[in-house]
Amino acid sequence: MHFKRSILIMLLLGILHLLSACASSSGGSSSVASSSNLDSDFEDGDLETKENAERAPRSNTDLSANNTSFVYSLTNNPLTGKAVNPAKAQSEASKLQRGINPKSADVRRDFSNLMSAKRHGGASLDEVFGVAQKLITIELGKDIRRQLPEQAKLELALSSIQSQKFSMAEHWLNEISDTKNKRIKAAELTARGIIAKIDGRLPEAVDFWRQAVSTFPNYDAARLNLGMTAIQFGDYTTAKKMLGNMQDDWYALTGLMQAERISNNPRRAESLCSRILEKQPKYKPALFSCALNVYQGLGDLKKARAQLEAVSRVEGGPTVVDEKAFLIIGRIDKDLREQASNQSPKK
Amino acid sequence: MFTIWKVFVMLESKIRSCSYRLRLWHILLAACCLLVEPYARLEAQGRKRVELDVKERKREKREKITGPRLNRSAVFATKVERKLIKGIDKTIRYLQKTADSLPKRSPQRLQIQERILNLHMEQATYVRSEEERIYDRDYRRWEAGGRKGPEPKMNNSRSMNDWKAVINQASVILKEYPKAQNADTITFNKAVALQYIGKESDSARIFTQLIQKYPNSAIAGDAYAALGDYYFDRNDFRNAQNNFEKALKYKRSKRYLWSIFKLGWCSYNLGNYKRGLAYWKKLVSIAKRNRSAQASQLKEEALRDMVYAFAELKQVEQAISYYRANGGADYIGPFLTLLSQILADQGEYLQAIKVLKRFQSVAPTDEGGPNAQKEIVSLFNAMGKYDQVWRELERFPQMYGTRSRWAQRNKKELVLETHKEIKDQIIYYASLTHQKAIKDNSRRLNMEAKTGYLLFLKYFPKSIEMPMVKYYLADIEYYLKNYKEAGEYYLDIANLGKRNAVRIDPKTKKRENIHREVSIYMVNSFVKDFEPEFKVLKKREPDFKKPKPISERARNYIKACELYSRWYPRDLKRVQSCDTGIANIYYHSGYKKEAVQNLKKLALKYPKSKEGPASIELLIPILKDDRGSLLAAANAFLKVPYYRRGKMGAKLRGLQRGAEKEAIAKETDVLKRAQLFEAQARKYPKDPEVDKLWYNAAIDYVKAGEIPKAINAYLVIVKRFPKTPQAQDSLLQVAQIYERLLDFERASAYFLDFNKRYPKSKEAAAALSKACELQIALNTPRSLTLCMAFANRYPDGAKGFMERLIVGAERAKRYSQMIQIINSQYLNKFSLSPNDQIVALYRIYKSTNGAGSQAANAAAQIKSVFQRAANSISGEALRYVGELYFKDAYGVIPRYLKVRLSGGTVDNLIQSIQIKAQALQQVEAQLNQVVSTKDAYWGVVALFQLGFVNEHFAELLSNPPAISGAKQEDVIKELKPQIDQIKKAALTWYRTAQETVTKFNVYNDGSVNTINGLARISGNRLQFDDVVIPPDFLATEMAASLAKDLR
Repeated sequence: MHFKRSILIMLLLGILHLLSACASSSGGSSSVASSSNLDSDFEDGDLETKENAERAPRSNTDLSANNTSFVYSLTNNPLTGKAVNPAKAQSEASKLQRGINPKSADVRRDFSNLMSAKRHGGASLDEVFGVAQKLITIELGKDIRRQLPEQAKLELALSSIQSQKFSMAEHWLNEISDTKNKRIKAAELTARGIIAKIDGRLPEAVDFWRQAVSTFPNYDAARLNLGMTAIQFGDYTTAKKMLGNMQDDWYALTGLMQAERISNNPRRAESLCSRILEKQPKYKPALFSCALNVYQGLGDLKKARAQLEAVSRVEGGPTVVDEKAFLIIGRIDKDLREQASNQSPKK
Repeated sequence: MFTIWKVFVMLESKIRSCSYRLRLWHILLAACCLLVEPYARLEAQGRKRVELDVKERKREKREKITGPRLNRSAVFATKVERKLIKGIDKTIRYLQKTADSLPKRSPQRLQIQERILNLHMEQATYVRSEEERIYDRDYRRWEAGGRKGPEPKMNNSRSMNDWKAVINQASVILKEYPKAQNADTITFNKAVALQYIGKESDSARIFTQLIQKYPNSAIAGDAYAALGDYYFDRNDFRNAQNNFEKALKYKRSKRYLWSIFKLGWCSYNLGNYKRGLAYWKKLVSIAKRNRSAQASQLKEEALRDMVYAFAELKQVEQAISYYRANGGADYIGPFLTLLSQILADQGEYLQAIKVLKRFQSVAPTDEGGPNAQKEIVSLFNAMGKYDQVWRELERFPQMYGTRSRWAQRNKKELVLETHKEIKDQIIYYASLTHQKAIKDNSRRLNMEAKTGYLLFLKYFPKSIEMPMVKYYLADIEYYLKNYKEAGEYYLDIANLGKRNAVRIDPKTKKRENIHREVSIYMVNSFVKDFEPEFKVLKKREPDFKKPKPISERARNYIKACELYSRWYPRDLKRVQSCDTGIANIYYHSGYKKEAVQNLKKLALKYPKSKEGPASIELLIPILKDDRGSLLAAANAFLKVPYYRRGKMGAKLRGLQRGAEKEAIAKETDVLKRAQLFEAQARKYPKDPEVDKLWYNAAIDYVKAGEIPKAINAYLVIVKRFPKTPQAQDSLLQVAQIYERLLDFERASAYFLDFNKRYPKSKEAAAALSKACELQIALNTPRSLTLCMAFANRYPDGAKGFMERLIVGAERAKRYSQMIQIINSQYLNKFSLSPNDQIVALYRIYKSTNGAGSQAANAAAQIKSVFQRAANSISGEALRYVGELYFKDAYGVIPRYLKVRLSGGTVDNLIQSIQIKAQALQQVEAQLNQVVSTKDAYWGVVALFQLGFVNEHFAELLSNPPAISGAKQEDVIKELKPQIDQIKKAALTWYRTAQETVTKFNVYNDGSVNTINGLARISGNRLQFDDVVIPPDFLATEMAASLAKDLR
């Protein structure tokens, strides 16, 4: 009897799986990802419906009912403005760990957040996996058909990338590749792009990022990767397109400013410089490009020279800016000499 | 049975020894028992009729009455005589002393001697009388005691002595006083005494001598009378008559009246009834006038005895009138009774009855009334008129019962005696008829007997004979096939209880307990009654939704059986038969509750007979929907050792387990259910479905979230029951659970195990694929062998894994391994697109940094593939093709750049310009090959180089070497059109490059150089010197509040 019932349940599950697969393949997801809500945090075959999840009471330790896409630099490069403070992350992880209630309706989200906090706090891949295992053990206790939430799977993929376990990363990226959640999909593609870039296959990386942006147009991580890579290699058109709407991000604005400069829009570049330096007055790459803009775009050699000298005086990296500033100062000096010689009366 | 009987009879007749015969009987009994089917099929046992030993009370013809019967007041006489006997003895002793003291022959002495003689006479008479009473008493006792022991005999030794004393005393007186005045009387007394001691002849002789010696004495009359008695006693009625007639001559004789009386008898005995009647009437007439006691007594005797004469003369009305006229109404009854006897003796039964009825009407309170009624019944019975018999018997208690008018007028003793008599009469005739009915096998007589018995019960419902009468009635009803009625009679008797269900032997009055016997008969009767209906019922399929009403017959049977079982629980055979019958009734009638109850009882009580197991077989389908009860039943049955064995044991255990399983399945708490399943599996490790128990336990553990226990249960199935369908699924479940638990190593191992155990299952390929995939994820060396194995067995699905293996090896810089996979597996075993081939080959090329034979070989193969299918190459593969072509082209650029313009003369200059232009053409041709691959990536680099080589040429022309005889400005001016043209070409290449960069997002050094090239050629100061912080951004999803706090 019991055996038959289990067969029946399996059949039903199979039908549900087929139905959801059809919906997925036909692009049937009607959810529109917002910047604040993780709308489709459900996997194929997961019997727990979105409605049920929304109805479920939230625990007091729930850090946030609203999820966001958190962009970070893989190398935690502070020059990108996307660096994470590991100490803070550890602290948050501790808080989360203490507050987790396995019986809470938000346990999936809480554990996923914990994984993320731990990873950013410098936890090893095994530690992050350990958190995931605790979560899945709880989940399987509720229903054997459950799987890790996509957020957690993404975390496992990102942790694997961080640990340079690319095979494992790809395994988890494959796990979420069929997601209906566009932000998760964009995250997956962005991550694949990073792996491709690390593998030395920048064109493929760019292609993944483009797909990510195509999937979720406002996906900042992909836009930044794409825009900054574009400007790095002189494609100011793409750079402007990708970075144009990140007016509050001094790193993106720097790229945008550089794009305007290269596309011979020195005034616009100058304007952007003001905004950037207002936000981040000691950001050397921006200071340097702004000086170049004064020099090459606006033709104010003396001002440019002064700015370049000021760049050298700013503490911090990258040192290549100092080197380049020194060279450009030499070039300006030469130009100034030529200018002076041209302006001096011919005798 | 008959054959056995014949054999038995033959053997029995040949065996002499008693013990052996007894043993033979035992054997026969055992054989019979064996042949009786153990399963009582609701059949009554064959039974015999009751055995009645009623001795018919044949009407005895009236005893010939030849003489008078003296009637005395027995009570009075007894008392007086006893006193006298004691007193006489004392007196005699006293008188004898006196006589002895007196002188012999003295008159005083004679007087006393005569007195002593008279006293001896009195004493002899009284003692004799007492002896007779004692004899009568003993005889009655002997009869009442069943005539056991020797018949009492009269002991007249004492009276004989007294009589001898009389003779002796008379002889003494006559010897001493021969001429005494009373010598005749003394002689007479002596003669009387001689009569008593049996010396009748001597006595007669003395009487004769007396008559001769004293002819005129009154004593002569006494002597004639005595002689008359002497002849009368010898039935010599003629001589008697003669002597009595002579005695009549002595009217003063004491025996005058006696002689008349005896003459009546002599005439009667001589058949002259009229004369006899006349003597007696004469006596009555005389006696009326004579007031002596003797006369009065003899009158009564005459009135009494004349009934014989009246009867013989059949003078009914005359007799009644005579008696009424002469104060003898009391004798009407005896007369009519006697008359009826005479009529009956003469075969005039109806007349006799008529007389008796007349008697009853004439003397309704006569003490002889009951006897008359008794006689009436007897006569009707003799005529075979049973209806009249029962009618008259019914009248008996009405007329002479304890509440009758007759009873009020008669003595209590008689009333009670009559009451007993009535009872006796009814039973007698009923049982007599019953006996005849049995003997003659007569239905009619049986019914008559039944009427008689019913009559008895009507009037004596609480008598001690009641059980016996009902017992007989039951016998008759059974014979008449009125089984129900028979059963009810037996039931009535049995209901009296074991102490009171008693039959009393009419003869011996011995009490025989019949409770057990009637209980058996009761059951048998109700069985018989129900049997035909039961045969039909047994064929009926039970419908427990529509129970059939239990018939009255069935109810009776059930009731009887229940009572019998309660009374005689140790009569296993009958109780079993009852239990079986009852169970069948309820079962076939569709009464579920009762059927279950009784079948269960049957099963538990008779495990060794076929009814036990058969009941279980019937019970199971009934209880199939009531698992709780079924389990309880199975549990109960399994406590019986007999049911634990064999197929039944297996079946019951199966039921037990099945029910337990269902009970477990009803448990709503999944964890408890899982634990129960596991406990059940451990409890019954040999259960045929133990694998399913483990499986169910596993599933419920999974549902309960007890994953480790679920895995354990699944693994038990895999280990212990590897050939069951559950094992396959279980192994897969374990693998999948471990995968979900992120234990990829174990998951992979179980997936691999699954593939090995069930290679032909539809999940086999997927399992091996999973094993490979997980090993790849773990990036273990084992992934290679596993995925290779997968590739070998399932090449269609393995290409992706191979590519991941290749990438993994490449990332780990295990280049030789990578090359081996590519060469031995990837390129050989899979159907690859040109793009796939090129990408794989490029990995080899790249792994060797483009150097060496492997690289050259790979490059050649790439080009070969490209040349074969240029249009189908795209993306990454095309980029690698472009790279190879660019590297080929790139070698000509340094040579081109080294070509300088020569000055000195115009011709030199022109010639060197031509050489440079030719070199440019060569470079352009080479770079155009790259562009023609249509690879944007390397195309941008090539386009930039095209711009650059033109810009370089233009730059050379803009700074020509010195020409003798011409100013440089002039030379430049002269070359300007060419310079402009070349610059324009360079600009065009740069712009094409930039467009390609933007269009195809080509990001490499070429794209940066293009920006700068364009600026240079445009005369713009702009240079792309900016420092761009390279992006390496990833994004995760997290709570906004957390995201805010992480920076």
